[in-house]
Amino acid sequence: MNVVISILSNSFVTVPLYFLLKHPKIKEIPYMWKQLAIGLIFGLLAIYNSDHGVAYLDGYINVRDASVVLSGLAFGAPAGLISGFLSGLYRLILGTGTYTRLASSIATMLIGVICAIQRKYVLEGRRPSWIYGAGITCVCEDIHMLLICSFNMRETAEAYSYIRNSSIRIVFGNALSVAIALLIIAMLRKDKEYYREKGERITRIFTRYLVICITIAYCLTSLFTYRLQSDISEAEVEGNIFRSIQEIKVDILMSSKEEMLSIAKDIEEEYEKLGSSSISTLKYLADSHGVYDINIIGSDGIVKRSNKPEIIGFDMNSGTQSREFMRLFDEGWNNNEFVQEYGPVSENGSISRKYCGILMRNGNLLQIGYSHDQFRENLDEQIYSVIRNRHIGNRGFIFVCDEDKKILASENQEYYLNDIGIRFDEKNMLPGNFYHSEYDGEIYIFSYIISEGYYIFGGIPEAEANYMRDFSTYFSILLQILVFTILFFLLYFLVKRVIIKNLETINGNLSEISNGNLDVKVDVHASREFSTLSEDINKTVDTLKKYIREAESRIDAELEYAKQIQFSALPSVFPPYPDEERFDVFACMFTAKEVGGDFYDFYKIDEDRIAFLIADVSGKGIPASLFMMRAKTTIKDLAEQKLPVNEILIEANNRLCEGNEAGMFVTVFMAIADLKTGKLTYANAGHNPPLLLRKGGDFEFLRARPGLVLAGMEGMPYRLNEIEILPGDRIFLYTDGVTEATDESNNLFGEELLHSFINEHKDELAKNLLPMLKKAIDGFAGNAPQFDDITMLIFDYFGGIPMQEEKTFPADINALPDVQSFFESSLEKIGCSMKTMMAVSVAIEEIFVNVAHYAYPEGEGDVTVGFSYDSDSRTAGFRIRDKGIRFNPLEHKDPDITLSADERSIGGLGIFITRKTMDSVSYRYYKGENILTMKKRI
Amino acid sequence: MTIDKVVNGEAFTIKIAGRIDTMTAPELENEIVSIDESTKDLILDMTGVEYISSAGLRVLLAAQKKMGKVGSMRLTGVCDNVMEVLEMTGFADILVIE
Repeated sequence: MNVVISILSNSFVTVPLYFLLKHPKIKEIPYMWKQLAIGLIFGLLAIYNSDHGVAYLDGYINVRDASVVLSGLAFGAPAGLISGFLSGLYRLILGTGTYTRLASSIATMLIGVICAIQRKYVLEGRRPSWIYGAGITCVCEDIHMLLICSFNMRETAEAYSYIRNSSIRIVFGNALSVAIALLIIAMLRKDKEYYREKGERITRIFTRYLVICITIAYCLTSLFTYRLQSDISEAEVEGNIFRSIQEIKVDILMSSKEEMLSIAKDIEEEYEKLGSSSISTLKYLADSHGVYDINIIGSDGIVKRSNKPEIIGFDMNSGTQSREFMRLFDEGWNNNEFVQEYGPVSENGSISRKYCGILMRNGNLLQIGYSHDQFRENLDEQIYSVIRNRHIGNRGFIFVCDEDKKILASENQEYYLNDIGIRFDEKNMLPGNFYHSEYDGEIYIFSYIISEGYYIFGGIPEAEANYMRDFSTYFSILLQILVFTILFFLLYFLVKRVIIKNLETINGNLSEISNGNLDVKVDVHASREFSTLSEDINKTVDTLKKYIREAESRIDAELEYAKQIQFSALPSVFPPYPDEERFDVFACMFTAKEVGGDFYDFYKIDEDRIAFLIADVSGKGIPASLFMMRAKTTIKDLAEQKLPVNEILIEANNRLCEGNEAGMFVTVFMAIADLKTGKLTYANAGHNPPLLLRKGGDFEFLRARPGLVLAGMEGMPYRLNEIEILPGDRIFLYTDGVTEATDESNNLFGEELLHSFINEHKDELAKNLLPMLKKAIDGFAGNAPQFDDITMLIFDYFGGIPMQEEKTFPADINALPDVQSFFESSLEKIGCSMKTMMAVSVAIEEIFVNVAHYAYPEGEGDVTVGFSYDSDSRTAGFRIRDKGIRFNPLEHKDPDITLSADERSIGGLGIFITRKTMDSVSYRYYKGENILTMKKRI
Repeated sequence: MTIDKVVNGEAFTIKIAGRIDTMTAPELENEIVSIDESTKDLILDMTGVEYISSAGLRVLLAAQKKMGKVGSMRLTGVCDNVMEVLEMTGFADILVIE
């Protein structure tokens, strides 16, 4: 139960802390303070876990390392380092358990470092997945186990036993603790990560395959290692057992051989002492030395003397067993002694004896033999002394048994093999092979040989036999985990460095390029492939730039054409109606960089009515100018049908709504002035309010509730407004390019500035006022570019200008001086300058002379001259009218003043001078009169 | 308009004062027309001329054409107003004005 709490304790701390850190207030705390705090918290948690594990073998199996892993992977490198160090230190100094003390404390600190490195270079600050966390924990615990092995190399068996029994639990427990914590975090997170974003990252794919390959490689290597170790170990163990048994056999044989030979020598000595070879002598010798047979054999192989009379005369050569002794007679045989193995005798196969023979001094062979029992007895002693201090390995056994499987030479006398539990099946178990049996509560590997009729058994506990193998295997498996993990990370970083980082750089460049910055150059030359890629990309971008430049210049050319068309559509001749003295119109448009959609228009509907308007199309560019053309012609068409101005807009609106897929619209202010009556009707479709100047007053905004913009929605109503204008009144129309002109700080020119400026210059001539206003706007804007068309129009209403003084003269040259003095005296009264007076006089002269010469070809007639003066505008008006032939002197072409003297002609010079010196000259033929009116500002 | 004449060998100076307009221009014209053929250099002293209209310009042009064939013609003492007219009509380029 303790352990479960311990395992979950990591989750209890990790999960809340993780989500707490996402809190905005907490985020403000500086990074290092947070890391310090987390490091401390997890250090303490690790310490807690350190002492609350499952007790095992003088230590605890605990999840201390899991706490360190979590702090490093999930929270940050510094936290990992701190918690690792703290808990490692605690383990070293205050922790319980000495066996693994050094190894575990170093391991914990190392784990802190490893997880810090992981967090910084592999995760790069990202949240670890629970699989990843579990994996890293396993590797960390692997290192932990390795350290334990390394530090306890002297007591390999103990180390091995510890590792074998606790490693699974340690690894599993820690990995589980880490995995649970990370899994809970993963499930509770609200913001989903973009796993499915356009395919997996190369790193993921590569990592996945790398893990698979490395795992396979690792398994194969481990398997191979295990097999190799097993085989080596097995061979070693078997060799060990075999050698031990053989040694024992040899020792026993040696020992018994020596024993027997010394007895034979003793018998020989005594025999020679006795000097008799009678049967009774031999019997006595046999009995006193405890041997069964004593035979004396001559060099021909015949038994000459024996203690067993029935054997005398036996031919040694007749049997295989006995024949062996004949070799003692060979001259080539250097030995005088021969001890034969215990075995069946030649005469009777069912009897076994042990014989030895020595060559006596008299050249005969003395052969003695032991009976089974005598041999046994003899051997027993030998065996016992040989076996006494022998052992195989630490806990191996050696038994020597007789043919009945009674165990000799061990503490357990009178025990049979089966009694002690060793399963020995002589039929199926061959000597020299290895078999398994249970003994003393363990499985043993044993083998046996038969020697001199004894069975020598040797065995080692399987566990002991295998522990070296298992220990080596465990160690190398652990080591291989570490090696392969290192290999994995090396490959990972290598690929990352060589390929992925460069790919990311290139991706970054490409993303900048696709965001519009075509001047970015890709500059990755880490390898030939990347060089080629960079060069190719750059070349492609350059080609693209070239095409774009070409397309732009094409578009610029087209825009130029469009602008030309737009401009040419607007009336640009001023004064537009030079014959008209009742009104004047002046307008100008300054387009923004791109083709815009502003326009103005004016036309006479009939003799006495003039329509004028200003408009602003939404948008820019060619679509706007196309729509502008359409709007202009639609309105004009309707105006020519002499509809009231609001009905013009109503119908125009409906027409423009049709087929308006692009959703464009246009604001319009339109007015129609009746020049005879002074009635002005107007309608406003979403346009800026114009400014109206009443003679003698100031410009004021003409605010009427505007209707919706044209082409917005069908069926919109537009109100008809009506005012009366008086001679001297002016109307100023403009588009929002004026009021919304901005300076560099994004301040607007605005209505107020417009209002005050135009009032400051309210008496200026229209053709001067508009350029002045434009200059003021430009001055206001400074270096800021012009974003919208600036369009302005002024309508001046003069009415029929009444003359204040009039006088009639005959149409005769001689009347000229009188005419001139008529004007001059009027001008003097109003304080006109000499210069102006001269100019006026010249003009008067030209016109009057013209009339006098040509108006009445038949005879005589009159000329009425008139003078008026408007003190508000300081403008004087001069009129000359006659009832003669209808003739418009202004129709004359201007003379070419660049011609040389010889080429010059006089024609038209007078009118030319008049036009040039007067502010305005207008002619009309009205009710049979030629009326020429001139105006000049005094 | 008043006209004074001074002959100086081949140079002939006509001093004009007053207005050269439709009425008075013919008088000037007569003077010019009746210039001796031996005159190579005509000087028109315009010091007193305060006013000139197209009629006067006509006379000046004719004089220039005539004198240009046989010799030269120049104007002196042209006042601002008259100069303005001469410039405005391009006559300032045709006539020699000192």
